[in-house]
Amino acid sequence: MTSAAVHPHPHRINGYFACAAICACASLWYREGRPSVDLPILGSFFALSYVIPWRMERFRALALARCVLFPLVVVLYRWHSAQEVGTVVDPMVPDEVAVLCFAELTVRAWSRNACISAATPVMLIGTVFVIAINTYDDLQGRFSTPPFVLLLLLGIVEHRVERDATAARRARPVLNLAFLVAAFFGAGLFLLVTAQRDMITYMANMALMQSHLPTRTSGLSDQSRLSSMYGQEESFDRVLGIKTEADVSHMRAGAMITYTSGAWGPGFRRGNRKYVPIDGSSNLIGRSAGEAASVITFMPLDNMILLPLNAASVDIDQPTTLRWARDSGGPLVAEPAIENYTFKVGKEDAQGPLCLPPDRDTIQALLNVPKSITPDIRALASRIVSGCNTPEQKIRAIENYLPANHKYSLTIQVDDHDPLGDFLFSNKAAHCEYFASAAVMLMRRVGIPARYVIGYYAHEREDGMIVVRQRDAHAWAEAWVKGKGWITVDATPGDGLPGHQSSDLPFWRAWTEKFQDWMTTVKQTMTPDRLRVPFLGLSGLLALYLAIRLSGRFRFKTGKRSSMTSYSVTDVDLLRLHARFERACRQCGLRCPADVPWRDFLQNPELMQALSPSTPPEAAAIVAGRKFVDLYYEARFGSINDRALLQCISDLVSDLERISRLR
Amino acid sequence: MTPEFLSKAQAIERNLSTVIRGKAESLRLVVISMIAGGHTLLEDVPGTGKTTLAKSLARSIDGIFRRIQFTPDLLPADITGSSFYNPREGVFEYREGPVFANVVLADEINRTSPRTQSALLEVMSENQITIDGKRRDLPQPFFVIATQNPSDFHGTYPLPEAQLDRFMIRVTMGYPEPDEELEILYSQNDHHPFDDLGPVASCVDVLRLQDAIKSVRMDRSVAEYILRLVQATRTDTRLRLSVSPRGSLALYRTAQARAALSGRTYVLPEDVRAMAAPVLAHRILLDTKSRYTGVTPEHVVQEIIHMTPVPR
Repeated sequence: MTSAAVHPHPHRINGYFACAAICACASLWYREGRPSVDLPILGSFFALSYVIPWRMERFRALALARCVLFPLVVVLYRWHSAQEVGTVVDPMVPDEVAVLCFAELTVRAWSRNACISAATPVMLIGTVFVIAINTYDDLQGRFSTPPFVLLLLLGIVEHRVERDATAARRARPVLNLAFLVAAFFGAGLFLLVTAQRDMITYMANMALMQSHLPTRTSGLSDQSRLSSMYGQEESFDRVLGIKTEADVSHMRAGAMITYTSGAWGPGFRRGNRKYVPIDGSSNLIGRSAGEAASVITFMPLDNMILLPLNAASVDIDQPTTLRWARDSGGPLVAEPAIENYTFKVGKEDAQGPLCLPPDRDTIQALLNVPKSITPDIRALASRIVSGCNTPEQKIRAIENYLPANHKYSLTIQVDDHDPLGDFLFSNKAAHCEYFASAAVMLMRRVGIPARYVIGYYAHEREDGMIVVRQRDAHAWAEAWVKGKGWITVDATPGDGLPGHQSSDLPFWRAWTEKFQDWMTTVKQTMTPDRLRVPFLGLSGLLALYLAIRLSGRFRFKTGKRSSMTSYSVTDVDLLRLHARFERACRQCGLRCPADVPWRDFLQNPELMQALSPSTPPEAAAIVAGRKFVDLYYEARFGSINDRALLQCISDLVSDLERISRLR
Repeated sequence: MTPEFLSKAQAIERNLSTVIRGKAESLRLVVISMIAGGHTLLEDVPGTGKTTLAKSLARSIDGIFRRIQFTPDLLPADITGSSFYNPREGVFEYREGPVFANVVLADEINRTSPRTQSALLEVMSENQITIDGKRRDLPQPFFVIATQNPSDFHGTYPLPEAQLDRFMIRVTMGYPEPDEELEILYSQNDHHPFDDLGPVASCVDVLRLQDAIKSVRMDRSVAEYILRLVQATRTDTRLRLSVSPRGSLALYRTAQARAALSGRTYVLPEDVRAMAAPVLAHRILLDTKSRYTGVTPEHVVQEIIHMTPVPR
């Protein structure tokens, strides 16, 4: 019988970890806004981990596997979203950590050794930290939370269940420390990060992302360039919820006036525009006429407040500073960001505070048609408005002409020189940005001051609330008619309006949103101030628990019972080294009978006598063999997982093999 | 294993060796038996230092030493103690027997009747006495060293198998080597070296040692090796009585103790091999045929060791 007989079959999956890995996988897949690529990737990783030859048992192989496989998983996972530019606290980061947690769980599921790897404490600290930051604050983070929590819980389970294993017992102080650090740092970091989140994001973005600052308004691009595609990804994320009975459709973020070679400007960023602070006495706030509508923002849109053109007044409860770029009726920016606001909706053609009459210079800008646009537009414009007398009639004619003669298409071929001319005369199919831009240019051509507006098209009404989603991002035009004011001109064909073009909502959307709402409530109730007490309490409990555990260790030191005489599984490395040792000894003519321990055999004086000094290789083999046996026994029966010791043993085996080759 | 442990155990061993010359192996077995929490059976002819060994051990650990000389007319009450009527007070008073000690030397245990033997053996396994319905705990540590003359001497009642099983280790002292005997003669010229003997540990130390060896690591393969040895005695056709689970336990514990005494924190197969004969030999009984062909239990144990593969 060889010692391999005491080595149980290695292919047994750890039920706890397997379940956890599957749950983690499912939760990642369930996460919103991601295509279903995740499931195959994560699933194949899970399957792959079974056939990996090292079977994830030995420490070194485990470390190697983690070094290779984890980045691989992350790269694969990120593959389909490679174009996205991440920020430091962008939603992908917790995702990736979650994916890593999943990978760790998977590896752990197949690993049979009770040994806690060096990765665990690091994972745990990271886990608690990420939970702390994301659970209450990040929309996407919530969906990545289950893997973290599972890993955390399993860490605790492992901490308890595997207490018999010698290796686990050795690793326990490290783990204890990790828990302690995680508890205190997690709480502290949470408080710090919630307080300084904006600053941290800003600094980190400046440091790491250089000038490439992405905007979080994925539907509303800052510099509105007419592109080949509208909307990178069809996102169902909710932007706003408008509680109103009134008819609100075009929620505008702001208008743009200048058009140069396919791009509208100026952008909404400060520096491009002149923002004017609004004080309480300003006529923007305080007028009260019309029907009230209250808005909840689900997603921060660069602190922007979205309003319809006919909004009569804005009312904000929270302390904030409002700034306004008045030249184009917006954008209206609140600092710090607000979560909800109320406005009043006037009659359909009512002129709200956003509808400031343009001054002489602005009117000039509003009538400017750049030279880059083909001159054919002049003829087209006159043809469209022929027979119309009043500006209103002209506007209606243009508004009717475009949908009647052009098709809606989300993807088009773009002519870089003159995308608008291309759209009007040859392509005749494009998305709303083109329809809006074309309408603006045609109106300007016939002498009507017009501007380009971006915002959201609100249409989805449910339970007395209009829900505005990312996919509802839209562009349209506004025209200035003397004596009447600003008029919304939406020349996009009816089938191209958001809501017609997009696919239906997935069935699980409703549950997700309920959960989101619930989390919002939780978030509103659990302010950092209120959280401080439970968090510190929890940390205190953890510390107490640790103190009890540590006192247990102390008791062991003073001579009470311990669980050192445990059964643990022999390292496969060690058994292989022994097999090599035996082979080398056989080649040197040393054959130890099965009933004699190697040490007794090698120290047998008869053996030394039998080997006269004339046979140096054997004598050298015996000397090296004795050293080997001493060290090997220490590692084998003492179960000392010492890397240096293992290295020594393996060196000795190499020596022996060299000696055997000499023979 | 802490260095403190080693030093205590080795100090006891060293202390004993100043009195008992040239019997290092036997001394070590006795110390192992003590820190493994078992009792020792010393089997040898008279005059080989059995009593001196027990007394030295008691003194080394600073414990109470009592000696019971077993004779055919000894009664159980002479061991456990009994209640006497005190006419002045008018009450029964319990007077403790000689077992209320840390080290009890049961001299020539096979010279008394089985009834009295079993009284002692009961005390050994229970570590307590119940007299007149009242439980009395024995002092801790409680360590019995029983001596017996080889069973074929005149006037002996051989110990029943069931009672032999209670001894953790059987040690044979044997005659000393001529050199050592010469040394014994000279060393006792002025006075007995026992008079110079002082305590090197306390009873509490012994209790701690007994607890500390439990943390010596026993690899699964070594534990299975123990079981293979024990199993082999159960399948051996020459044996009328095989090793009981109590025997396996004793082998386990003594192997731990031996490893600890050697300064290791883990048990090697060598420990098991070294302890197999002292622990197992007195637990097995040969059948008549083998006995008359001159096979001894020690032989059988050695054979079994040589038949059983060692964990590597």
